[in-house]
Amino acid sequence: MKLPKVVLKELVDDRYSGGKTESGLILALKIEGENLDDYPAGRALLNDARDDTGRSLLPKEPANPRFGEMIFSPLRLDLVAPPRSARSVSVSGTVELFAPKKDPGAVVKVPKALLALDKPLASPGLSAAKIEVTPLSKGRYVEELKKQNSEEAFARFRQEMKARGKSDEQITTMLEMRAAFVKAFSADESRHAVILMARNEEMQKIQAVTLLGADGQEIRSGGSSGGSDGVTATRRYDLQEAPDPNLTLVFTLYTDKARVSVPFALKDVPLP
Amino acid sequence: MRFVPLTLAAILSVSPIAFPGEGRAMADQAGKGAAASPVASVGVTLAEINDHRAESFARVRLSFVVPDLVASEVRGQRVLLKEAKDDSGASLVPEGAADAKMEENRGALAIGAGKEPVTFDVELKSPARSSKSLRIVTGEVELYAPGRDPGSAVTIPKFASQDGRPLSAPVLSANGIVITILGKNGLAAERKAAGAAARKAALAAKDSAEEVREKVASAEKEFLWNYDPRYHTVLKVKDPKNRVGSYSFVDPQGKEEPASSMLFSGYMFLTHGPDEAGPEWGLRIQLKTPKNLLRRPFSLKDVPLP
Repeated sequence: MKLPKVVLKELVDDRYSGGKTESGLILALKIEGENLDDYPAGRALLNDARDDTGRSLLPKEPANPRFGEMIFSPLRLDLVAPPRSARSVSVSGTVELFAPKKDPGAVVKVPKALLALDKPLASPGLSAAKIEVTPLSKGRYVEELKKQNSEEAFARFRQEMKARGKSDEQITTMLEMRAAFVKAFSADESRHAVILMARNEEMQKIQAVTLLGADGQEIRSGGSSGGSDGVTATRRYDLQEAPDPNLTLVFTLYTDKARVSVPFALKDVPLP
Repeated sequence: MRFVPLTLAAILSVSPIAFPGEGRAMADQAGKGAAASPVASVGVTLAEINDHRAESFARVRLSFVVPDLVASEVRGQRVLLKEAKDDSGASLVPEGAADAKMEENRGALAIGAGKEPVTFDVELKSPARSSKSLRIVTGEVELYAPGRDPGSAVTIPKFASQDGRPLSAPVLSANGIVITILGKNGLAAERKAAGAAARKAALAAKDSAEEVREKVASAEKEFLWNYDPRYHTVLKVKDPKNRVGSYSFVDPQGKEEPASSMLFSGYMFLTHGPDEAGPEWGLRIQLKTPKNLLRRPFSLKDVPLP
């Protein structure tokens, strides 16, 4: 398998006065080469970053980003802003690409997935990946939504955000925005949907879920949404019609074997 | 928005002149830091400079705070930039700055808008990396605060019942304004008109009968495809003097809920939550008048770039 090449897509030096917003240098990378569809997700990891005076631009806390879908340009690196007098930067690191074709265990099919709602799916493939997924009934989903909007969930969110260095004011604003968003755009619970639940960390191992009808054809979702109470997470796939209980769910999983690493080194890139 | 003290604000100066309709004198803030500026003083304060340096969409954005006006009362703003130069003398006035239009203040609808001061941004062209400071930036912001002239608004009670008919109010007629609510009836009429226009164009182009049918069907099907009555109220607006400044919904108890508005395909979309704008609700149309257009000058000298 010929690996793709990592190239610089954009360099942004975003400079702020005042301290309210942190200045930063942002590198957006992209991959070039053949069969790029074989890599539906990726992430970028830093090794070294310096400006032309030799000053390190590595952030204080090393980032450990999650894999992101390629269509959302996930190969982004956040560096410390160089001084205005700097002329160029040199950056090296690794791009990790998710390559599900490399690992047969990365794609798990579960036929007749909705025959027993509110019970974990019996799937050797999911078990091997240590993931337990439960398709939900509407009643159970409503209970989960209540949990996601409970004081306990907000307290967990506060704790997690505090650990990430957010201030009380920032967290309160985030919760207020979330409440406004939920009020304005919450999905109509009576609409047809496939709803899945898993523990938070297990849900994060799922890159994508595809729905197949009895004829093997993909059933297109009108949109998907997700939520979490900090312990369990739900994903909802809206449909035009009531889902067939016999439909097949195809899970694409982030497994260790389904990764390829592509090193990169960008030298003396002029600053904008 | 959080109020952030800035050492840069020490060099901010605000012209000490009064403006018609406001009846207040502008306090001279020269030499006072943003943190030290009393909220009661009248003027503007520089809060932040953002130099966004990139191959595309490079620009400098100056964020100002108007401490004596809360965000919720200002529904629109227009920045009139007079001069902007960096320390090399290069002009940073963007193209089209002289034709700036009044833009909706989306901050008026934000969480906490009733407590936070209004803010506005001034955008400049990107200076060279070698530039160290902004030598001069001067201009004026026009802030539209409809509440400052209560006589400038007209409220249509139970507006949904007026579906498809032009709204009737003397203040609208006096300004040549014609507003039609596009509910089920209004929308059907407009959709039919879109189909008729498509038919006329197709016939003029000597299309086949099949093509004419397809084009009419397509025009009707695609007409305002993004309209969702749960979240939008759609208006057909004729406003030849550009007098309408903003819209608000009024709940059955008389409480005003400002509406975000956006022109789409020539129709005005007012956005609201799923529980708002029911059959008992009113629609308030607010017009721009000399009394509710407030002006604030700004003037910066030798401001270091970040």
